[in-house]
Amino acid sequence: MNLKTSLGIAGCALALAGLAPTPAKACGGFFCNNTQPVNQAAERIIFSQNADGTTTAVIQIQYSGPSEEFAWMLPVQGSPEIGVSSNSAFAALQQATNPTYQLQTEVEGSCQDDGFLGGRGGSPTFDSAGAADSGAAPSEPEVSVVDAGSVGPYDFVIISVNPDAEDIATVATDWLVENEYDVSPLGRDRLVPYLESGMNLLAFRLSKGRDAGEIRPVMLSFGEGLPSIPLRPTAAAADPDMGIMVWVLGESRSIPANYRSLELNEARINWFQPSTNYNDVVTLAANEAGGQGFVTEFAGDAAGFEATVLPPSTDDAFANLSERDWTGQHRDLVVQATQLFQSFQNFGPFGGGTAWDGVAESVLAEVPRPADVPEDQWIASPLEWIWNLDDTVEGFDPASFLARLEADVLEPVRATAALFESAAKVTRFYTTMSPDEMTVDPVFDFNADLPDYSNTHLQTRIIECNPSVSQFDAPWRIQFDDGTVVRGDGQTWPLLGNDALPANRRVLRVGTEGEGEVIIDNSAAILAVVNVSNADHPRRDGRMAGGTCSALGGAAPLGVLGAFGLSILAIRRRRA
Amino acid sequence: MMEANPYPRGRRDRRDGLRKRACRIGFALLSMVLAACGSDPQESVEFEVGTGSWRFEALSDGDSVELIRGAQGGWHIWMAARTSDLRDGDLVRFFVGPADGELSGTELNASFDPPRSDGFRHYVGWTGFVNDAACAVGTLYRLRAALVRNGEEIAASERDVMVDPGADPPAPCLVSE
Repeated sequence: MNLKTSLGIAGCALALAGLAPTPAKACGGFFCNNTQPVNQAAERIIFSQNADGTTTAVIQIQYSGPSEEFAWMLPVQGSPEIGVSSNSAFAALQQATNPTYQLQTEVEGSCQDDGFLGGRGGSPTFDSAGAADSGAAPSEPEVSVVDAGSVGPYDFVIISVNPDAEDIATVATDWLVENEYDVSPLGRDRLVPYLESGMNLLAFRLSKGRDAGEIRPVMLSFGEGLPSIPLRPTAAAADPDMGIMVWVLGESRSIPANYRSLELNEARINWFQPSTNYNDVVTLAANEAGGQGFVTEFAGDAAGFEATVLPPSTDDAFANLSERDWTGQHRDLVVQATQLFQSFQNFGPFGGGTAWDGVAESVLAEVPRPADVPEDQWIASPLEWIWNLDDTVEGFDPASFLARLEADVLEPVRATAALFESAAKVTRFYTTMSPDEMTVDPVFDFNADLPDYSNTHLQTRIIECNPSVSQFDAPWRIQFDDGTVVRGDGQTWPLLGNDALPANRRVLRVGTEGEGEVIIDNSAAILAVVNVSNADHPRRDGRMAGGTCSALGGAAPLGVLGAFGLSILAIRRRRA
Repeated sequence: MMEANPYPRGRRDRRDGLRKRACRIGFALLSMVLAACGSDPQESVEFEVGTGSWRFEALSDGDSVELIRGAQGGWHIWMAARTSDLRDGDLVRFFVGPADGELSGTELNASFDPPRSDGFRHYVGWTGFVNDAACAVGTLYRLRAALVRNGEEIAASERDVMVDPGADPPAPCLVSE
């Protein structure tokens, strides 16, 4: 009996267990205030190479600490256009591109307890991806203010430093500190190459009266040029193995031009619970590759992502709200409008939802506080109290409220979504890096020869049943796309914690044309380790199995021969 | 962080490192140095500066190297290096600047690729900032790299290359009086 079930187990959304932002050490981005002993989590950046050749960067800023100590800066050339984006855009984009590892199950033979289809102990289930979630220059200036202003919750300033200044980095950071940009002196030497090359410094702080809870991504529009992360200054505030997630939008699939391209060894992933070790595997892979490499997690058409970031239904619903007469229905307007802008609908007005950036601030700015709500509680969490509003709120202007939502909430998301309009492809990269590895700024380029890369990884686990064993405990095998067969039994991934198993299948250097050059190929080493593991997991007929060809009944030596053959084929293919 | 090149310039192709330098001193000293060469494996280090973001491209004096524009607006030249001998703790210094002017440089713990079939290890993708890109076009720039072991340069290499505007050229050079 060959019972085939499509047990869609192990659908995993990796992202957030391991990648979710944690309380941040200062300010995400590229360079941070390091005075707070808190933790900096994954950096998330969207780069868009636009149709006109310009580049836009959307940078998520993570910070936890006193509002007055927030400062964030990065080197820029000239004076980029500065705007704000929304964390909701990152959440939606991340969820749509998270890698997933799925096992479907087939059953061969009859087990002791036929009829069991994964109920006992529960099929592995995984979280759905989810996302987290001016000063004046002196007359003979060492520092000149190129631009200054406010955007969203931030004040910003762009300064240029006289290249003849004796200590150019100290001059820059001292000026910023004197002007209440609380930048850390740590790592300022790392600014020297940027400043010496004539670049300016862009610095942000929270505007007076704004709270750290209002921190939201910034959008910077540069001139022409390849996307690049000025990573070296980040080392001053980064934690070990800090995650870096980058989306690059452009005419074709993107490549990390001067970083290594990592191809993960999928046998190292715990396919039963991928979220439990994916991040660790990426870290191991990056470390194996000298600490400077990116995993391509997704590469595909940009079409559709605009709607992912901003669903048309949200835009339409807001337009409908704007056309209605809300006389005598002020509470309904505030409730409906604010509910429209939350990432997850859930119980209660905001019971489980996450409001988009700017919603709470818009309510505070436009909606008079209900008389029965204490001021401190209203300021702390206005969205929890909007049900206390009356039908007619004196001093409330529906049109003004809607206009503010449009400008501060919807438009930044719309602008981010629009980046996908002009792009043909989206590529998502991920890696982790420690401060001592942040010695080179990664630059991203494009390679039209590379194919799309799916974030969905699907394999079939064949359970080898026999009457003496339950299906739950029965041995199984999975044959990966490269021919490697992993054998196990029960519900435990057999290669978990096997330190002999490389985390990379291959490491490549890839240029703007062709498929790149393999600089590390661990295929043979992986096979050897898998063979040893497989020997501990007998086939259903009691024989031991090798790493390949087990479906044909091969024993270990045959498996090795099979692997050797595959290696030859692989080499020939590369040479062809 | 190196702010300026503290090392003498103008020496050509020092791939042979100390041995080649020592060999210019004189016969007696040469004998001593060569004797030392025989007992010190550092003396056999081959080291060469080149260009390339993803693979090492050797350079000769007079070759052209393209300017690359980064998104933040800075300009750089891809720099690379290869060596026959790399040890734990070795550092690399990269310098770039006008051939007749000051070089600016950086010292880093470079992550070299694994050894290749010829025994060499390559490091690629260093962004050598070009300070005045517009006026650098069509001029000779010096690319210099050095292998540093125990705080001393044990091998160095430099090339004078012509700065090519590349596919995305900077604005014309405006020379002030």
